[in-house]
Amino acid sequence: MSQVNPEISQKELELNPNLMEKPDTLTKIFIRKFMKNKLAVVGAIFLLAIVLISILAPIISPHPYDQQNLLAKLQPPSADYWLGTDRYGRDIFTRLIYGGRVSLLVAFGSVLGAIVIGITVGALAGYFGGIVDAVLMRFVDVIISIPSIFLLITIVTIFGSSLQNLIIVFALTSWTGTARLVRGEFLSLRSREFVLASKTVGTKSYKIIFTHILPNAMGPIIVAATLLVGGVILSEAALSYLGLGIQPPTASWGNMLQDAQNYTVMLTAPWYPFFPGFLILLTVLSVNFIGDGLRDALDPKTLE
Amino acid sequence: MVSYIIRRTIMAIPLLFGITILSFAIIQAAPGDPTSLMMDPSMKPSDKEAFRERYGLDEPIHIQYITWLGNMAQGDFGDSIIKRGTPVSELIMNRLPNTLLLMLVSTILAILIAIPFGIYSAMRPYTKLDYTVTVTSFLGVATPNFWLGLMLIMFLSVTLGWFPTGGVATLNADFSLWDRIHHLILPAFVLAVADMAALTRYTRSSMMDVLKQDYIRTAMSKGFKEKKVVLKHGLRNGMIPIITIFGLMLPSFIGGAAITERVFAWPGIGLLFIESAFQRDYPVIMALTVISAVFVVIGNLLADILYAVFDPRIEY
Amino acid sequence: MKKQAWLLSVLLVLSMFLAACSGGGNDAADTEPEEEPEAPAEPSGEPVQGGDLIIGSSGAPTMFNGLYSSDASSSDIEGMIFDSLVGSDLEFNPVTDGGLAEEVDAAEDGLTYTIKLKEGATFHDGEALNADDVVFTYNIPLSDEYDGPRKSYFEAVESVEKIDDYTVQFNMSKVDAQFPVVGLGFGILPEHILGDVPIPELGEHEFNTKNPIGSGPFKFEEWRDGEYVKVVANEDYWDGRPYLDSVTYKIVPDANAILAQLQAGDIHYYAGVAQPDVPTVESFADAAGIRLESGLALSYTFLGLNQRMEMFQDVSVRQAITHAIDREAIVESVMAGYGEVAHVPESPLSWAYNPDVPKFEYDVEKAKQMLADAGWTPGDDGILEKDGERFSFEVKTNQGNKVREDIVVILQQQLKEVGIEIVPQIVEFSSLIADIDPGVWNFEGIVLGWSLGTDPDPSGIFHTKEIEAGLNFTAYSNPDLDVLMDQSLQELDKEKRKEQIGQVQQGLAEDQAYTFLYYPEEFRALPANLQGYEFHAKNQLYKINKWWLEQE
Repeated sequence: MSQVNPEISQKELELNPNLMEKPDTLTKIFIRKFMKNKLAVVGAIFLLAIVLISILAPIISPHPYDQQNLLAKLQPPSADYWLGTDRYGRDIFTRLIYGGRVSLLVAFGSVLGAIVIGITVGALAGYFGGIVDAVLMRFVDVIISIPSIFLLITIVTIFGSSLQNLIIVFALTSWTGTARLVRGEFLSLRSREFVLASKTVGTKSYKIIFTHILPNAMGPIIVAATLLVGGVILSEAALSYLGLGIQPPTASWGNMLQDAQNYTVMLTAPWYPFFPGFLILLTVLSVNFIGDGLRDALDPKTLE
Repeated sequence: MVSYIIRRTIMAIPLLFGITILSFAIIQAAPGDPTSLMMDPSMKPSDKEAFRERYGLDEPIHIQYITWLGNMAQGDFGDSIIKRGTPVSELIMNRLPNTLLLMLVSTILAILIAIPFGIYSAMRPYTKLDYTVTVTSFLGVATPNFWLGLMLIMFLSVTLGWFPTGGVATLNADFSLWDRIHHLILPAFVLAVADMAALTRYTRSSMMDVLKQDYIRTAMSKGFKEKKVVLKHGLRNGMIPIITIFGLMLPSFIGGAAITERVFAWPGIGLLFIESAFQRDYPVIMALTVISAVFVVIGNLLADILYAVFDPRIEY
Repeated sequence: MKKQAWLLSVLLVLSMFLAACSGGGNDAADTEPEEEPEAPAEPSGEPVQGGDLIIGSSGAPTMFNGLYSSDASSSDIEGMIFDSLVGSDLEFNPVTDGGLAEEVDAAEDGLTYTIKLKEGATFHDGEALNADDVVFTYNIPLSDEYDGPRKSYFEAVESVEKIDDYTVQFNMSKVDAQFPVVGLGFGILPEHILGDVPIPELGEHEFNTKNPIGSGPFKFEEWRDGEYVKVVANEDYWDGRPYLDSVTYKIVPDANAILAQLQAGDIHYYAGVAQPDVPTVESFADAAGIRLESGLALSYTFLGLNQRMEMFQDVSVRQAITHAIDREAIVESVMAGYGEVAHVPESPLSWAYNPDVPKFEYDVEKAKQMLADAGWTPGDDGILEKDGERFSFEVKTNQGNKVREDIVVILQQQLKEVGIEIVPQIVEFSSLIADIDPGVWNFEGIVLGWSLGTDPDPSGIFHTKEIEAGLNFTAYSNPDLDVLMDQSLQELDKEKRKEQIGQVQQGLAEDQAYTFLYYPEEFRALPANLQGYEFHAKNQLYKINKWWLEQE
């Protein structure tokens, strides 16, 4: 997290005497601050664990992920099938582990992409305002307005289907909200005293953007990213139905959850949707707590 | 400000123009056309050709666009191709009230619940209540609308019989206000859940940012009543992200309820859009795209105006 | 983030969209009362009048004019509002029972049909229905200006003329064995209302959507788009007032929601119970006051292989693939056992069904042997290879049809056993159809279903002349069968025609023109006290005017 630029405004220095004494240990401060936030640490550990388990899926899983047992469909949890079986008699536990690979990769890949684009566009528009703002925001209007179903169908037709394409499509269609949020914050923050002060001192624009304004706009960005992670995991399954992204029998949390949304499954195996649902919930919560931890650790105003 | 609004309004015209060109191209680029669903061995390819000719689908795309634009300019959305003879405007007007009613009620519900909880959470962060609110709101994020809707129907409607299973009103019954409200409760609640989750998070985050500001701290330390301070200073300055979200919510009034509409058999615009998309009913899709684009433009313009109202330092 | 929410929700809907576009799905069923369901045994007394029947449907109608509509929901409702000249009995023979024709007189040479109309039929506005209306109706698709989807039904018709007020004559330019079955089944339109409308404007006329007037057992009352269509009993119906007071055709786009409404009693009748849901519906049937009726559907599901690809041109390879597929297991698992393994592209319900055809039973060893004989040998990864080419292909099916998605997943598993790799690809329906469009043919394997007509002619799908521009998208070609198919269309003697079509079926089975998978069994939920119901595979509302609800 060394991107936190050591250049600090006068105001912040006053607020945080620590910085004045040893400005070269910001990373350490950051880590210390982050580690003090217990929930953030728990979230990070959980995410790391689940990533690790997903990577090790072939070793850990008790059954092959695509092994069908048509005689044991929708079984309740048992010694053999720890979390029961799905509509094809496949082991739900195994598929959850494998599903994490797809879901987490897609979620983090595309959300990262979307957030980076969103922040860049939003920051430029909000900071410079005027014609830059007008052009970028009208572009956002266009992207929001184009019916995305057709965009997706067309993309599948032209570029074919792959996990990378899926991530790209998600990133390219879901950055607009973040861009508008960031721009709104920038519009408001750029006329605050501490920004104006930096400007008069002659600080370069990109430095003002990244070191002064952005840290103060992190709140909504983190919320947006967290919500997007949840949204992407849930709707990844929907995209595969358009022929984009993963296809059966590959498992993902999204398509497991979708598979369970069926009257018969809900009546006969009501526990099934809770497993993928619970993992999605935990993932989103972890991202949220990590995000909060990051924000607090990055915020020069919070004291140790 | 006035001149800004005028500028933006004038700019909206070429913007909408551009959106329609792009959308038209992308919609037509997707494989298939309105004859795709007419898969019948007894239907000759020439029959499909005749049909395409009848609706000008055999013309080059720019000619089709110009024809469409010409009609549009006269306020004519054209006729549905799949539901032959039914004007698109009629299809939309039949369903628009249903969707607006549903969206309005659910949005109000979401605001009424989310904003107080968000503020409360922000004022007492890292307490039991804050965690409860946080976990509950993310539960809302991780719960698919469709599943929630079906679950509620299974338990509250089918098993307990407390609510109707779907639709906007009881079939073959006279109009009754209570009946309409009764039908509205479950779908509005399901829709509100997702909105609530997002709104709570944004409110909490903005309020926490605000509460960290020096002047709020100062005000608090001076012993003003906590509540008053928060409402007067805090909310005002914490409004920017919330306004942004509302601006972005406005266009979702058109198509955002599709899933909920589907599970509750609620005849709304979202369902109409999805059906038309699958059937490649171009005039309906284009009409909804235009309406939605207008909402996008208005929503974002309103947001920009409100920014300046709440934060007079903002200039464009 | 709302925009995302919107995008995402749109996508989620896509993924659940089961509605109208399942493409040749199940709009059909069985005639044999093979398993007389647990219908209330007391063949209780006299029919009584009364009751509103709520029919659930996931598809929405488009308009009510059989010459222009092409979806199942519209035709369900058209069947109640309009009468046709002849009906179809449970064996799909054209019959005058229930139709407007008193007598159909076909000439020996098959070039004229003289039809005597029943007297006394009136339109819902009171006007008498006579020969003028019939001539008017049939002249619409005969006109060059007609732009509806039904033109090819009438290709063989030269002209229609009125002989007297209650007699019409169809003059044919060539023999068309299908004509009496499909051609005479269209609803008769009122000339006194539509007679002055120019034909190019008929497709868009208000009559079709706002005020359809026919002579059928039910009168159109109201259509609320996306909600319901309501029809009420025609008091003056020539065949006696229907027993039901009204029928409400309720549109519920989601099949899960339909089941919930069925259980709650908000829907009384639903013809599309998915096979895996049958035990569920049975579990609440008694409490909800419904029963299930079932029969074989008039359709089949298949795996089509694109025979433009070299690997599929070898008949023995296609046969080996069939040997490698455990179709019993597919029926057992994805259909919950409700279906029959298919061998030919014709339903066992049809009079033309030929049970005596080559059958390729499940036999993995034999499949492996046949593939080895054809030059395919296992490669390093266990997948067969020949001349450096791996035996791997993509199988597409349409999104929204759970059963077909399941089939692809199971096929993948089964074919792996013999060293064939399948890459599933689930595609949105209109895109899928565009993929099999003439000239495009962008597929390797495809799982789809065909809904069969009441006439057994297979040439629309398997004739060589249909490869270039028609529906023979797998490019199957067998010149011997082409000759037979052409002959059968000119054959008026039913027995001879049956024999010819039977030979065609033999050839198609031998060649494995498609990998025929199964005939689904169809399940319909209806009120336990509904009487007078007969299971017609092609018409879920068969003789609805004779249905009645027994009072407790």
